[in-house]
Amino acid sequence: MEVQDQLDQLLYQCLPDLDRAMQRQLEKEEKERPAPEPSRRFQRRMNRLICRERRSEKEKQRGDAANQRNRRFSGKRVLAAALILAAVMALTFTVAASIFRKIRVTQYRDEVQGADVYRFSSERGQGGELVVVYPAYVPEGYTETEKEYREKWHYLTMMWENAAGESISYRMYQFIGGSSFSIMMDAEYTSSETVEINGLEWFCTFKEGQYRMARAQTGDLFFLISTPDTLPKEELLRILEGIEPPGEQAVGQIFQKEGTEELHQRVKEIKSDAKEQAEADLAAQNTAAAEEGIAFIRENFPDYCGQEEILEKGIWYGCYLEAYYQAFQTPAPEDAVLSEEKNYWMGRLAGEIAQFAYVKMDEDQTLTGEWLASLEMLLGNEE
Amino acid sequence: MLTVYLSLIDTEEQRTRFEELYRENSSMMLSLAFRILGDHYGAEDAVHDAFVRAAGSMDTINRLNGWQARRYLLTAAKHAAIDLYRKRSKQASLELSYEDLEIRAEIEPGEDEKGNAVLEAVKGLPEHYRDVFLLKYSLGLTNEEIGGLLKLTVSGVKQRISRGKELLRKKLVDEGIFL
Repeated sequence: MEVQDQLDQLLYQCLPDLDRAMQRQLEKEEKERPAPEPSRRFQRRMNRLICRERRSEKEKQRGDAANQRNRRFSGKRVLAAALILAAVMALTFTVAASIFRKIRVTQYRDEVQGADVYRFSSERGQGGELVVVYPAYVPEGYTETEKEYREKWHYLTMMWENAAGESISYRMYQFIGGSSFSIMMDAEYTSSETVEINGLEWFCTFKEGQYRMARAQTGDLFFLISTPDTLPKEELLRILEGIEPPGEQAVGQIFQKEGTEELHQRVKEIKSDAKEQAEADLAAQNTAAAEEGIAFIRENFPDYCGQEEILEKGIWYGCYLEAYYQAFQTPAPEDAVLSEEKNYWMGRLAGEIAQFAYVKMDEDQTLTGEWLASLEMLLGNEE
Repeated sequence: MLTVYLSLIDTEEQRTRFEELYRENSSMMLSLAFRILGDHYGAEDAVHDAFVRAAGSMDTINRLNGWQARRYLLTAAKHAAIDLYRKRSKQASLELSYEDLEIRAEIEPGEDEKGNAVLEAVKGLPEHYRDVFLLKYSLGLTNEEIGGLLKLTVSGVKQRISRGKELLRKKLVDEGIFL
């Protein structure tokens, strides 16, 4: 038990007052020189941390004290299935496969860039009927300034402008004949809602001071409308009502769900365990697992998918390194200079590659191919 | 097509203490970290790191009231900024120089002459002692908890307290106060 002398007693008595006075001084200085608005990158990182803490607190409240630390690398058999992987705090994915023509649509949120990404690819040799859909309604005061159909990429772009120089843009994309396209849209909107019009489910977003947008996907078609934020919502809805998609296309969508929940749950468990361990090791300044993880990524490049155990280790080490070096995250892998920054990206990229392989997504390596290239660059630079 | 949207449900009931701490203190932490590092990007990294540390110590923080929790977070942000500064400059012994605004704090003098003298003496302590003193004597943290926050060993914390008290006694002796 600590023995308190007279000085200790005085310190216990007086220091709270000093502390408060010092904080008031800081508050005063802060009012005179307020801090600048935090960047979007910082807000995104803090939102992730807050969500994680919310989840953690909910789990505590539910009394979920299951110790998952010993459940590693069970070697569970991977089932061949297309499925959704909802990676909380990181990415949200949607995959659909057509039974008539194979159109792969992958939708995810890139938290670092603050963008919703739609990636479309269709198989070569699969033809299809070309479709062009023009909007039937344009708000009063707007005149057409652009109209172009790009045959190579099968997309239509139109633009209208009003006297104030504000513009409305409309794009219609069609994915046939081996085309592949990525569309990125701002994900940091103020509000959003989904409305169903003419059989299309429109996802509408609004960002004050910037835009009002709507997007919808059906079969091999993707529609995107962007208007000024000052345009009333009712006008946007009228524009959407004027867009009539073609009748039932020879493109269907099947979503196979076999084993979805089990695989999803297993990935979640592995990631949660890895993050917990990383946080504990950070607090204890333990670097052993981080060094192991870097060695694992280097030794197994580019084949993280050989065996189930390798897959699960890839997910675990990837998430571990991502959490361990979280403080060194840069906007993109190319921005990584310090070894800690590279370690962050090596973990993140390897982890995501392993996750995609685990759930048999992206078999043609449309996405993971790019990630492997970035990882190779990082590993090459390290050497 | 099945689509899963990730959304944050932000209601009063669902806000955790952690989130409240972030909303109430992040601005001041950013200002403090910016004073040390001189760039906003770095200051944000330091504050994020401080909150990561805080997230691992919510059991400790939940015992503290509002201004005590703020002191905890400010200390975490300051030390995270210092760590980042050292990593960037790769010179562990490099001395930082930044304006220590806190020592300008004015305390209303009480009747207790000894107490006043102790307060002024603590204000004049080097920062690395003063931070430990505030965490121990103002927040009531244990040596383990202080060590966890400042990434010191328990014996390191005890050493700083012991040396800090020696310095305080010397200053107080100059004022004619013997403790």
